[in-house]
Amino acid sequence: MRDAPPRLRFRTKLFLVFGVLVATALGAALVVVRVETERRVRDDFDLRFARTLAAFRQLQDLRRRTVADEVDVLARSNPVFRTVLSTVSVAEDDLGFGGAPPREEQLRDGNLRLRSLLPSLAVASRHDVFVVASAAGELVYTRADPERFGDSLLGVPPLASAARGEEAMALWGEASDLPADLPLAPEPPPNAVYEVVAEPVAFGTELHGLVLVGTRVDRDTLDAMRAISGLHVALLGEHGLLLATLEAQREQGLAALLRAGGEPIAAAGATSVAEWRFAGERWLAARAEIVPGEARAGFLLLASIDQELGFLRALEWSFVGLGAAILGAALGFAFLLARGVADPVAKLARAAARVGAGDLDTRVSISTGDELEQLGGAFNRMTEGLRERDRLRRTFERHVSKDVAAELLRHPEALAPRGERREVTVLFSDLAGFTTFSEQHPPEEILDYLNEYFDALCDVVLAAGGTVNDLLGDGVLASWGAPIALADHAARACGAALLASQRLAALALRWQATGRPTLRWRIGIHTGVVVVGEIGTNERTKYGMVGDAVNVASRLEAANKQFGTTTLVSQETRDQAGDAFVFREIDAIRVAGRATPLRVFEPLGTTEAALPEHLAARDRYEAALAAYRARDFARAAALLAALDPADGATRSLLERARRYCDSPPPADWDGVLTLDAK
Amino acid sequence: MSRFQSYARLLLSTALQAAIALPIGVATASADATGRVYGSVQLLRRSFLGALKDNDDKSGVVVYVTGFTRVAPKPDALLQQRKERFEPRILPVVQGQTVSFPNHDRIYHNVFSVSPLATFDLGQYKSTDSPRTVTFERAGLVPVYCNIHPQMLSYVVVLENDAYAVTESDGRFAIDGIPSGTDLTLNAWAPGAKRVSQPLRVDTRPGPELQLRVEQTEGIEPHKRKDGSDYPPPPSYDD
Repeated sequence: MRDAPPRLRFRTKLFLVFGVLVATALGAALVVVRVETERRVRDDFDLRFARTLAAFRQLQDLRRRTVADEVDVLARSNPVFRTVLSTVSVAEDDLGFGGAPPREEQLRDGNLRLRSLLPSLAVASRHDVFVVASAAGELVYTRADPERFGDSLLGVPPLASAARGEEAMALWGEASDLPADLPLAPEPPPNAVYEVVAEPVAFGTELHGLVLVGTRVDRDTLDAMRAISGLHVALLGEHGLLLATLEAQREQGLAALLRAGGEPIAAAGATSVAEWRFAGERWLAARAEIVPGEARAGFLLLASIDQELGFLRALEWSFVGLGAAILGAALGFAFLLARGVADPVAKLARAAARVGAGDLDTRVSISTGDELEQLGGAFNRMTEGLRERDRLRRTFERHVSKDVAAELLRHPEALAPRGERREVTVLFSDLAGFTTFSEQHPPEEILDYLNEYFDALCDVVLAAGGTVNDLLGDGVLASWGAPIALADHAARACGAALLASQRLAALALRWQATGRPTLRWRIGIHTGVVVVGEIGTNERTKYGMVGDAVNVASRLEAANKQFGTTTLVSQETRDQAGDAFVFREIDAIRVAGRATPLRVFEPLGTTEAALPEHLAARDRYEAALAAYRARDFARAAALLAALDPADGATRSLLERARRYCDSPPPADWDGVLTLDAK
Repeated sequence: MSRFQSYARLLLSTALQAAIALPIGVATASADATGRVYGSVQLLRRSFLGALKDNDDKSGVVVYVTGFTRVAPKPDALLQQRKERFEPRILPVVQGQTVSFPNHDRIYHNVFSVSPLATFDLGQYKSTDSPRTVTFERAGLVPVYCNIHPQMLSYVVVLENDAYAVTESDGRFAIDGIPSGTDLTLNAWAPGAKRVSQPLRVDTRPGPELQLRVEQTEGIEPHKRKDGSDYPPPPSYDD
């Protein structure tokens, strides 16, 4: 039976594992990159913000100082400018002597003088805002409207700071920053934004006037800041957004956010960075004052986190592409790996299936160089082992019982493959008159006949723990004591012989009842040392024994013909069988090829089942045998005559005793009966 | 002279020329019917946006009497140019009096005025040149500058008579020899201040001490750098 196909193929599993691994690794990498990048963007923003702020402050300081220097140079180097300011601020006071012109006339004259002077000077024409005020804060000259004078500029930032000698910078960004209808800038706020520096003109500590110098702040200015810092810049007034480098839509978003409430603004301190959300993006925002300490107006530095992370999107796509490539490579690799593993495994599975089906000659050839190759080698060794066991099993199954075979398989070392001297009891059985019988009957009948006979006999042998070594025509060679050593091999053999005789007798009766020819059998048993082992080639072997004991058993079998017995055992067997059986000593014989006479015995039955009359008959026979050997042939004959004449042994001995009575044997007669060869 | 001292002095001299409260005591000292006026000046600093505060240094306020003319021949007054400053910062003279402008520095100076009362330009001259002079004929305030050195400024206050005084730091003043009369005015002025005046009646008996209150525009502290340090001082041409 073939196994069902695997539920999840190894290849699929490998694919899944690789896929999940690659996807997880890439995903994790992506997340790490994103988180890390965002953190770095934030850090970077902090840094850029601080740098931009520092740069802005430096630029601011530079601008302020430049303006201060310019105004200073103007005041110092130009006596006209200096004296005009002194005149309008101090000199034309009425000291009580009359003749001093009214204040408006003084200012008008000052205005006229400055109008005559300033347009030709670079310092005045270069700046969008150039305003001159008297020490009392009256307008003397403004570039935006040169003929205007006399207005009070006291509330105009950052004039008062300058008059106090402080650093004076201000942002004019909203209408409320300047008095209405005062033309100080070419395009009044909120349409334009100006950064203004105020500088005092003083003689020593004596204030003679003030100069306001301003530069228009526009998109270009912010764009320049943006170019330096890489951050978006937005200018804030008191009431919201003035200018920004953002695109229109984003600028609107920011303006709306600022209008909506001060929450995000409040969140961003002078240097602390807040995260805002407008125009559908996340922003980092930090606010700084334009003029330190002057919280009214400021600028925002902005960076869109999403834009800063924009490259991540490209990176993500790269990751996806890379991931796909790696995944593809991984899957290809997995495929190869799977094939490298699954193919040998499948090969093994097929081979195992074939082995399961009984084909023990299956071999696998795996040369992957790894554990699989080891496994293949182990598999081959396993099938070799199986083959060996199978061979052993087949070798012994016919000869020994299943128990013995199992025992042998469990302890193969009990088997001596190279041959071993062992004392065994050999049983040889044969049918009387089989040759004649086979000539008279058809082969089919003979086969049936033989099989029943073999069945009966072999069953008994195997049941008694014996080994059927060989079947030769009608002969059976069996043994005890090999391959499994048995201490009571002789007794077992005798028991088996008795049992076999009963079984065969029953069989003979049945055959007789069915009209078959009479069956007669002969058994010889001898105990002796033989060499046991496997005999044959690799392809065809049997477990056999070689030794004189086998011949002796055969001779004993044949000797039955002489004595009309069915079973004869040697003295060695009888001695070893012990007291469990009752034997009758039949005679002593000399067989061909063996000089030593053999005392032969007939097993009569088990000791416990022995009947007294049988024992008495035996004793009489053995007494007769003793008389016979003592050359008292008359007494022997007399004793034997009283015994059952149907007994073949009795008849045989009686006939010889009578003959020796008539003609006594020579003096060297030793009482041993010499049997013909075979 | 150290930079600090020069600043301190500059500060002191300007600060002192401020508010003057003139308590005026008037006394007729003799038979030719002249009297004495004395008192003190209260000098207040007015900030740019109008706030007032008292000033301890009350020097540099000119206190003078108008309402009579007395032009007596007087020696030339001196407005010296020393260490790129005019000395004194405020110089009262009488109509017709001549002021000499000696140059004590080792560099050139160029004194000039654009005042309609006395417009002049003395041109450049050095210390070894003979001092140039100007005679002031019309009463009033004549600021005098140096064309070369922008920080140099002095005020020549041309008066109708010699009844004047310039306060020291305690703000006290005393003017003698004022003819008895009722048609007089007592004035006080300092640079950056509006003139204050009050009617004055003088007789031979000493009168009560007078108080004058002068409001002067607050001066400018020298700019400090952002870190609080001073800007470098102007170059010095001291000997």
